[in-house]
Amino acid sequence: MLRTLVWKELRELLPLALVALLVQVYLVCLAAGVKLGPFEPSSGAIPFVDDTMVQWMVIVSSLAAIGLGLWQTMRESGRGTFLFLLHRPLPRATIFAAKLLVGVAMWLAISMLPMVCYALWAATPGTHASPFEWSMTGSTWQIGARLPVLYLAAFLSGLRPARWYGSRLFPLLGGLLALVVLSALPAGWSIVLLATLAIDAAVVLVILDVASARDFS
Amino acid sequence: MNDAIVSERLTKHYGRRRVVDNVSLRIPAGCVYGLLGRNGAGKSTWIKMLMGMAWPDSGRRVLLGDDTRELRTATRARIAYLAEGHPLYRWMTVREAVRFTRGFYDRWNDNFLASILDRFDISRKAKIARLSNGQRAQVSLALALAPDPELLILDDPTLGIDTVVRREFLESMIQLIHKSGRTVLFSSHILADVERVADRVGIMVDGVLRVDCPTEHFKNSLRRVVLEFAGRAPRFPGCPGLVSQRQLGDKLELIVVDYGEQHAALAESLGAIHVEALEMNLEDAFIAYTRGQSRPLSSLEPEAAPC
Repeated sequence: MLRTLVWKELRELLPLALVALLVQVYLVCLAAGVKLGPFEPSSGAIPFVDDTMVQWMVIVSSLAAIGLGLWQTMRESGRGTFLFLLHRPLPRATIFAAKLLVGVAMWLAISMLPMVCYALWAATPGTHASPFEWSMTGSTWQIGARLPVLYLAAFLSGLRPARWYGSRLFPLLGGLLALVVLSALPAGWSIVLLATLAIDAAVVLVILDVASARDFS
Repeated sequence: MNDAIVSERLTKHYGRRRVVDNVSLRIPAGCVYGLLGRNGAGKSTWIKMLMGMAWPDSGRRVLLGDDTRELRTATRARIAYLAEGHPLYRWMTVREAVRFTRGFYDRWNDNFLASILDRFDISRKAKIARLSNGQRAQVSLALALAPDPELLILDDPTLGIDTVVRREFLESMIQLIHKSGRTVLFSSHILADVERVADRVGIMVDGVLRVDCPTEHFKNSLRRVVLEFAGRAPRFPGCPGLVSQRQLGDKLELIVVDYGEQHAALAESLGAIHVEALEMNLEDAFIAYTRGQSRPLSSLEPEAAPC
């Protein structure tokens, strides 16, 4: 049962994920000094330290997180397919948990995979004329670890019934606020991870609660 | 006899508007129940509450013995639900929709599914988005029936389908209904659909279930009674069975359920010089129940579903 649900979610997210992944790959290419299309590749920047391309990749990852969350919920709401999906003989919490897992996995593939590729390129001797230590990538991974809260907030925005678009976006605004708070935390993996996981878990619980309590029509 | 569907005083508000008002109904196993009502009468909301897709403000609902709030997945697998508009994933092909749906069920009748798809010449390779409304309705019906459900709940299944396809769709329905023990609840705003298929009928008006009785009884029990007076017609006093009244100069037209001696005596006491009780066909009866302007004041309505 779960396999068929996962397959459906993957297929639905594929177009959006492919577009985001293409943009990310393009940015990695530019960062690695490959000229593709109209934009000039970055030159002279130290990877992951003074790196405009990484900043762009973080922006694309953030937009992808928001896009995936809204895509998974508003499409179902808009086309009435929640009524079809939720009547399948699976607990509602399982259906939404599967959606969330697929969404997060897809986001990791879009966001972190290109970043890992870029880091591996930067770690390969002879590819660029600047120093590289893996520790230099730490802050980027920390930012990446915080971003799923945007996905979850967008998912909640799409799922939660609201009378108008302004109030519908409240959860997303909350997600942005959480991101600001997490960014203000002192550097250090344990604190960032703990706080991020706590916020993520809280949003997941709210999502499951809304999913079980809202009217679908 | 076991009840397949139980609705106890289900009530739902959207804002201040009461869209479903204290609907109590029991549908026994094996019954084909047609729920009639105009658009916006509250049929879909009531069905969504039954299915657990909407939450009632008060009341209780039970499907195949399970309270909907705690509907077990095994019970849900025994229930087919066709939501209004036949929502399916439009990006899927018919084959993908079948594969996706089949993945959730232990029981699956491929032959039956194939027979419906073949009968309506629906290609497995066709995208759902490319299908006509009628074909999409057939695919929905086929997907709903393939797990061999005991209870089938169809929310306005012929909405948006042209007359010819609607007839074919209803014939498919009639075939599936003939399987013994299967309970069917379907809503419609088209009277002819219900008349052809249902053995029991309910009529919902403004969220209130006004009628719940065998279709034949409903057709036979409603009368249009015309009272003629010497002068201006008076108002008819509220009494059981009175559905509506309309004053037309020296005539008073009443719609009455189970017209009998009590009504005749009241008419006489008002001084009617001529009383004529006319039979109504189902169409007239339905219009009498659901028409807007001349619907009666609440004080005149029967206490409960009259049949």
